[in-house]
Amino acid sequence: MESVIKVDKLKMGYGDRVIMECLDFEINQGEIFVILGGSGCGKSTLLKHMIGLYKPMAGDISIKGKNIVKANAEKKREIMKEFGVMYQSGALFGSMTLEENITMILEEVTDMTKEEMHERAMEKLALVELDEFNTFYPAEISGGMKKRAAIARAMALNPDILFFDEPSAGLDPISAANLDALILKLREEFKTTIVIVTHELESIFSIADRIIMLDKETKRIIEDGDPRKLKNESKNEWVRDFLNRRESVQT
Amino acid sequence: MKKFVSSFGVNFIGFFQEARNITSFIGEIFEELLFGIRNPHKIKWKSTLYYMDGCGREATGIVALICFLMGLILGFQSAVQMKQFGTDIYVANLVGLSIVKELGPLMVAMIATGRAGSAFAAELGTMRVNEEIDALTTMGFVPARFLIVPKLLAMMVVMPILTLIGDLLGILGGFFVGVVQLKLPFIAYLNQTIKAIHYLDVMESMAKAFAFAIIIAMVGCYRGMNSSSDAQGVGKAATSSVVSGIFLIIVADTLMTIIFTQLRG
Repeated sequence: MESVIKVDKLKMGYGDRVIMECLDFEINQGEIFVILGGSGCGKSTLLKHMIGLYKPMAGDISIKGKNIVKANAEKKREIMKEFGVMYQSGALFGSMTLEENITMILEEVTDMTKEEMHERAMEKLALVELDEFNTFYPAEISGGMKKRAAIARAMALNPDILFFDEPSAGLDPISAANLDALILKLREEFKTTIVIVTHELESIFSIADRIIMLDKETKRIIEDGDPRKLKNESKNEWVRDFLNRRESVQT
Repeated sequence: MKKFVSSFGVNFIGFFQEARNITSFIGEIFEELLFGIRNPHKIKWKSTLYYMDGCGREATGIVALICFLMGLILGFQSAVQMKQFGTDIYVANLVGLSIVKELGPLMVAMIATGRAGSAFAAELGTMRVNEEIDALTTMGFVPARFLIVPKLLAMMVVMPILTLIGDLLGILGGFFVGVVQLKLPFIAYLNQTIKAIHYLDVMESMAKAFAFAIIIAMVGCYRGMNSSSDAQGVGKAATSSVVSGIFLIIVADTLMTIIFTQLRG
C-alpha cells in the first residue's frame, strides 16, 4: 500500500521541554490510524505537528510526499488543501450557518460559482445527514451534530486525508457509535486516509486498522500495530493493561 | 542573588522575544494590508462594515456625550480663572484648541480602547480557545487577512470620523458655558472659536485619530491572537489590550505633539 503520511525522526515539545522524540512511522492510503496514549502524553500535540500548526524541534513530516515542516507559508497552505481536520470542539464559526461554514472555504480557495458552492455544501451536509439543518447556527444544534457538521466542513475540498482530534469526546455512547459508523463510511466510500487522536477504547476496537501507542515516560512510541492483536499479544505489559482497561503497575 | 540574576535573565530574554514577536506581527499585518491594496476583492468588506458599525456607529453616542461633558468641564474651569482677568472670550480659544489638538482625539481613543480594543482581544482570544484560528489556518486561510485586516480598516475609517464628532461636541460644551454662564454673545464666541482653530489643527486631530486607530486595532488583535487557550487567558488578553493600548496611545500622543509643534514652528 502507498504511504501518504510519513513522520521521520520527529522531536517535539514546548520551549526547551521535550514531549516526544524519535517518532518514526508511516500511514498508508485508506488506513484508519489511531494515535493512542495516556492523558497528557502529547497525542494532540503530535496531531498539530502533523497538520502543520506547530513546528517540531527536529525531524520531518511529509503529506503525500510534500514536506510540511520545511514548506514556506504559501506552500504550507497548498499542502493543507490535501487534508481536512475535525477539531475536538468542532471549531465551527458561531456567526455563520452550517452551510456558510462550508461555503466559506470554497469561496476562499476555489473559483466555484455560488450555485456550485451551495450544491457542494448540501452534498457534504447530506453525507453527515445534516442537509435539513443547513440554515441552522452551531448554537442551535447538539454536540454530536456539531461534530458531524465539522466533518462535513473538513470534507468540503474532497481531501484524501482526514484528521480527527478526539472525535467522541463529550458524546453519549449512541452519538459516539454513530460517529464511528460515519468514519467507516467515509473510508469505504471515498478511500479516505483517516488519522484519529483518541483514547476511547470502544471506538478504537471498532474502527482502527492500526494504532501507535505513545509513552509519556520514555517519550517514544512503544507499540505499533493492530489494536485487536496488541490487546493480548503486545510484549509491553502496560499496553496490554491499557487496552484491556486494567490497572497497571506503571499507572 | 542567584535567583535575582536568573529572574533578570529570563525577563531580559522574554522582553526581546516579545519584541521579535511584535515586530513579526506588525510586518505580517503590513504585508496583508499591501496584499489588500493590490487585491481589493480579497478584503472581507462585509466584516469590515460589521466592525465599522460596531466600533463606529454604536460608539457615537458615548463619544458625543463624553466629549460634550469634557468641553463643558474645561469651559467651567477656565471661565473661573479667565473671569478674574476679564479675558472671558478666550475661553473659546482654550476650549477649542485643547479639544481639537489634544483632548478630542485622546478621549475618543480612550473610549475606543475600552470598547473596540478589548472586544477585538476577547473575540480573537475566544476563537483561539475554540480552535477556530487553528481551523482557519488548516483550511488554507491567512488568519491575519481574514480576522485582523477588516478590524484595522474599520478602525482606520471610523476613528477620524468619531474624533471629528468628538471635537465638535467638545467645542459645543465650551460654547454652552460661554453663552449660558459667561453671557458671551453667541456670534462673538463662534467667531473667536473659528479664529482660534486653524485648519492644520483639525488635520493634526485627524492624524492623531488615524494613528490611534492603528494602535488600538493592532494591540487588541495582537493580545487576542497571543492569548493562552483558556478562559483566564481571554480575560488577561482583554485587560492587557486596554492597559498597553492606553500606554502606547499616550506615548504616541506625546511624540506626535512634539513633532507637530516642531513642524509648525
